[in-house]
Amino acid sequence: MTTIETPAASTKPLTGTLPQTGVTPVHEPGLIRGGFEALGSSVLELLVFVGNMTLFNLSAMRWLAYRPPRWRNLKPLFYAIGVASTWVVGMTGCFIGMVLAVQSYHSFREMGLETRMGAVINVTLVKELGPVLAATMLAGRVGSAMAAELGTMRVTEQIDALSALGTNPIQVLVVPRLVTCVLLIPLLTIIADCLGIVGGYLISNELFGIDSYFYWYYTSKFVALSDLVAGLFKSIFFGYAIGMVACHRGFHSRAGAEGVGRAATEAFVMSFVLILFIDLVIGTAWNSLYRSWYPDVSESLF
Amino acid sequence: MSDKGKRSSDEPQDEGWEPPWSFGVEGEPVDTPAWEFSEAEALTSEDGDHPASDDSDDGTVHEAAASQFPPFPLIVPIIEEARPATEETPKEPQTIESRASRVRKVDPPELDIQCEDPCDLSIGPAPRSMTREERDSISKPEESLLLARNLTQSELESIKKSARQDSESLSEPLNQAAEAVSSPSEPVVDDAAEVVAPVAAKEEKPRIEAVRPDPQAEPSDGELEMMIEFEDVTKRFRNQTVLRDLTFRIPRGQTVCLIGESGCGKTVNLKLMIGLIRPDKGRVSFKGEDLARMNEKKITATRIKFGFLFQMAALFDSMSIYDNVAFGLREHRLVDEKDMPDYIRERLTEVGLPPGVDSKKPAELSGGQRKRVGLARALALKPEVMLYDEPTTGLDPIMTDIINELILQTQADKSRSGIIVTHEMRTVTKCADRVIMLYPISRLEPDEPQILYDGPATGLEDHPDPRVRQFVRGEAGERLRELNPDRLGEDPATGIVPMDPDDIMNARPPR
Repeated sequence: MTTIETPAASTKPLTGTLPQTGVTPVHEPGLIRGGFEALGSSVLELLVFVGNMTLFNLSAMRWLAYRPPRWRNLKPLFYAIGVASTWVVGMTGCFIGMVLAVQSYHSFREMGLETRMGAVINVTLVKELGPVLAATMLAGRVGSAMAAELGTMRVTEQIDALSALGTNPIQVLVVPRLVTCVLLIPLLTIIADCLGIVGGYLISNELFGIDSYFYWYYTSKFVALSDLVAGLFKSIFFGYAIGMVACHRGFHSRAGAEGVGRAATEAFVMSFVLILFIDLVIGTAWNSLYRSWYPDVSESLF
Repeated sequence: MSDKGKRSSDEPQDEGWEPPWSFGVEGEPVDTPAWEFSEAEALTSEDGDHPASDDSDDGTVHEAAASQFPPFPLIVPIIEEARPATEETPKEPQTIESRASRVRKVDPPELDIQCEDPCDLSIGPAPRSMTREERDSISKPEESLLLARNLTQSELESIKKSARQDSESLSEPLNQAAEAVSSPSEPVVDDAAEVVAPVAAKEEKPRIEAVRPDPQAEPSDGELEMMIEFEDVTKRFRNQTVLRDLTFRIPRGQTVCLIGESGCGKTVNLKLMIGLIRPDKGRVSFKGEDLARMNEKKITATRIKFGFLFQMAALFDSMSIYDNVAFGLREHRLVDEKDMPDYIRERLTEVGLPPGVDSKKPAELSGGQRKRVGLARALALKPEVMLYDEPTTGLDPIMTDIINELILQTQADKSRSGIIVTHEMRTVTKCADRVIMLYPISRLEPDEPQILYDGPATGLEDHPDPRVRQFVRGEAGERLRELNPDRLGEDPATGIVPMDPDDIMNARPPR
């Protein structure tokens, strides 16, 4: 057996591998070199991640085009993602509408514009808060669950079993989830919008005594169909982002309970950041487009 | 033949949309629907031809494919009945000596199982029915073993009686051998050897050549169809090399046990065979086709020809047992939905599961039951190659024996190859035609081959390499010293005290 002498026994440089573990001792690099190495490593990891995510997306799109999911596979997902999320999303929308009314009442009252609160609350709801908060709730409730489920399937070799049975896991697992998210999140957004509008109205009318005629008059005057469409349009991308990130993280989950937990956490965090980013990009693009198509829109709330 | 699996062309195919292009290999017409190719790929005849590979618009492809998909022969209940043995399906290639040694090595615990077969093994503690091939294989070593076991005259008579019942296949010399065994005063061994030798010579099949202990002497391609070939395969995970320049070939019908320490790359081998991972170097081919060069559709279609029993069964836990077994059949549309219940029930019965189990979820089953469901799911697609990843790990001895028996029954199909990754030496001795032992790269010298042993199970215990013998006997030997580096102490030869691993890791090079 190869032995390595102690420094006291010999002044020879310590080289070779540890006989018991086969590990070669690694010496720490200098600070500057180490920093560059860490930076380069991070950049490479980012590139790998982006490339991996892109290929994952392309593969899912390809399978979606080749073999759309069957209703048998979609049905349980429609229930888990859609039906089971209805009350969570509805309650969230309702409370958001109420909170908006409570927070904006005193400011509008000081200006004597409390009758126009309906316009502000409802525009904010259908255009921004409804889609974003519905998507956030789904990222937390559905995205994390999907990532954990797929991560567990990865760890327990169920994904390998799918391949071994001659099927493609992306086609069987990812495409149905993606389709379900894209189809159902706009519907859930509508539920959140509706209940948010009801919640805002109840607080404004019942608690603060705002006349319902003026509330709905200004709402109908300032909330356009395009606002609702803008919100729903964004929610489609939110749904895609949630489904894709959750499936990607689940597919690439590391082994063990810690790996699955990390996949679920990453799915939520990445989805949330992506939702806000998409909201910013699409919101800006939509407004620019809308203004360019309808330059005469100059009605002011005040 | 039952018409299960048939698919009439006027029936609705499925509620899902079907792509108008082929799911097949290059060269296939693009108007072949996906399921036709899958069906044809999955349903191959014994000689490996694809019966439905040609085109047909009138449903003949479906009929042909369906006719190639008969229900499985019902595997007899596991313990109570003897394993089926026919002339058409002789036991896997073994020499007489190897059979004898195999029987000698089987040493399961005492099982309290009634067996009515008069030929129930008296030569080993496992109360298992003796197949005709095993009776045929009674030879000198076994006879010695019979004597060593102090068999009674009646037991020997029962063997003779059973042997006579198979007179159309069992030749007179074997009866003479039994006579010789029953008369201790006679020169038993020599006579028996003389009379059994012609039987052994008659029984030898070409496939016996594939199980020669000498790994260099492999059969030529003309004799046997090579199902799986590894050529200089190397696989790394990050900086860790798991497989290095691995080369071996597995012919059709052979059952190979891959053994070795944990972490030596056995499961990686299985995943390479089915194309779940790709080698960093070298070539893994199935029937001569390089898996790495196949496109996604082709490799997906190729995987249907494999059955994979995963270590933890890998059942889909969101589905019932019924849906688990039906999954592959539905995906490839091999069985009509109306025929599915009967088909699933047959598959579950084959592996010894009760009828009511199909509505349960995997979490409600025991480990052994899950393994059996996994086996039923894999066998439902009629694979040409079965891969077993530690099929008996974590099971009690009884269930281990049941799973071993199921493997034997599965591998009784001569057209099916089997690769078993296991640590269980009883599985090796019972099921393997050939054993390949791998060794972890980290413990090998740079120029040392990773395969320490390639040959029949009988040669393991007497192998000159102590690492092979230690593994087979379960002896840690010097490896026990790794438990505590402090035990190393001073080397008596050199007087040098090996350095503590932590000191080495923290050491800095001299300036």
